[in-house]
Amino acid sequence: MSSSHYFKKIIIVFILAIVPLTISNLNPQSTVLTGVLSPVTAPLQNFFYNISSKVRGTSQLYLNLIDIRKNNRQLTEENRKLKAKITSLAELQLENHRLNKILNFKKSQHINLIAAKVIGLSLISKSQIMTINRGSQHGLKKYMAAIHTGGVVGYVIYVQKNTAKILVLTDPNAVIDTLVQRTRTRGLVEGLSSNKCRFSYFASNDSDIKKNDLLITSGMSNIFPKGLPIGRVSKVKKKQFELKQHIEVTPFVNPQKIEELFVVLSQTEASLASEDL
Amino acid sequence: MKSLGLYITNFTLFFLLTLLLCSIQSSFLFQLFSTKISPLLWIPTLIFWNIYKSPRQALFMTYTISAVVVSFSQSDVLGEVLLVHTVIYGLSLYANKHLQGSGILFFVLISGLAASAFPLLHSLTLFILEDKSVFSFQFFDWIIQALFTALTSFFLFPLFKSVDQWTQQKTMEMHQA
Repeated sequence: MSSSHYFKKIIIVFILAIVPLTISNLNPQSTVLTGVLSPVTAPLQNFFYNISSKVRGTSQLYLNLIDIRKNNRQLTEENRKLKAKITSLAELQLENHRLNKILNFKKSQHINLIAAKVIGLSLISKSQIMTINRGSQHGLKKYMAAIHTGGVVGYVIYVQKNTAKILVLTDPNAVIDTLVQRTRTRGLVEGLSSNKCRFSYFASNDSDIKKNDLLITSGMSNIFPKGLPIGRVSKVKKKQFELKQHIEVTPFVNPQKIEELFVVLSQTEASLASEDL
Repeated sequence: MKSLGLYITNFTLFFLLTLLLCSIQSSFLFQLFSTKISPLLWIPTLIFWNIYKSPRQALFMTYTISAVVVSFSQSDVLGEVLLVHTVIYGLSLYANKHLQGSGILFFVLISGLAASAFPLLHSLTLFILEDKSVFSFQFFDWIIQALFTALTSFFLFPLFKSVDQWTQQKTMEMHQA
């Protein structure tokens, strides 16, 4: 190829490059050049943008999953700790409710009471004996009454310096002087088994005791104040031609579920005066 | 003199173990279970001495354990508990002589049987001796209590053996061997 032909080609290329640049510089607002290809570039751009955004989204999702997993583990651990805390708070709430009930009961009674916790039970299931964490040091003596918010529990049979043993009313050896509230029939409640007692009385014409009659302490034995609830008649089975009758009684207090109780230290003057009436 | 000292140590250790087990049953287990289904934790000690010690030693331990059990309950029941434990002592000796068993499984078996016999014998004793008594019996509680006691004896046996070895006391098995 001759040099002149080569030189011509260079000039043509130069013109083709310079001219559009000059025109665009002169009229920057002109969209002639860009407008020609935009129908093609725009869709292409959209297409590649969509692809790249999806790739970016997927990778971001993957990165987020790692974070989510880490957060999930932390939240699960936190949830577990909070659940444990709720359980312990629920137990505290129950204890609080129970202790409030005990405190209100103590305030409402006209008798001097001392609260005690049950710290031990008898090894032999037939023997219904409880050990409490109060003793002679706290003013306890033998044959003091033990009661609960629900009713009579039993009475003290043995006292040491810091502990005492309570004979529960369901023990076969326990005997409590009792009145039927409705008919005023007097008798004795004796323990039978872990959840049953027996009311023994001498039958008379007007001793019409029925099921669900309330039994209360008579106050005659110098152990229990008068009027404390013992239980309800659960079964009446009268024997004809027998002077002494027995009735099955369900006590109000379940000895298996007692955690705290009160021991009656002494009755106040108000309580004694109300008994006289 | 040395053997006497070791024997006293052995007896004291078993006595303390019995106190500890009774305390656990009386004050700890009832918070988890009720008194009905808690194992009779003093029974394995009683049976261990009945099977693996001489009859005289076993009788002495029977009296001691009766006193320990009653101290956790009520002093008035000493006679009844002593009577029941003595019957169990006799039955254990009879079983040991005629069954010729050995090892931990034999011990567990006899402990379970003794734990099942105790409530029955105690109820029967009360029914016969007491003026006012009702023969009340709960079958499932009885079964569970015996099984629990047998299970506990399985874990207590190695402890008892260790105490014997530590105080160099030979058990009746080794004597017979």
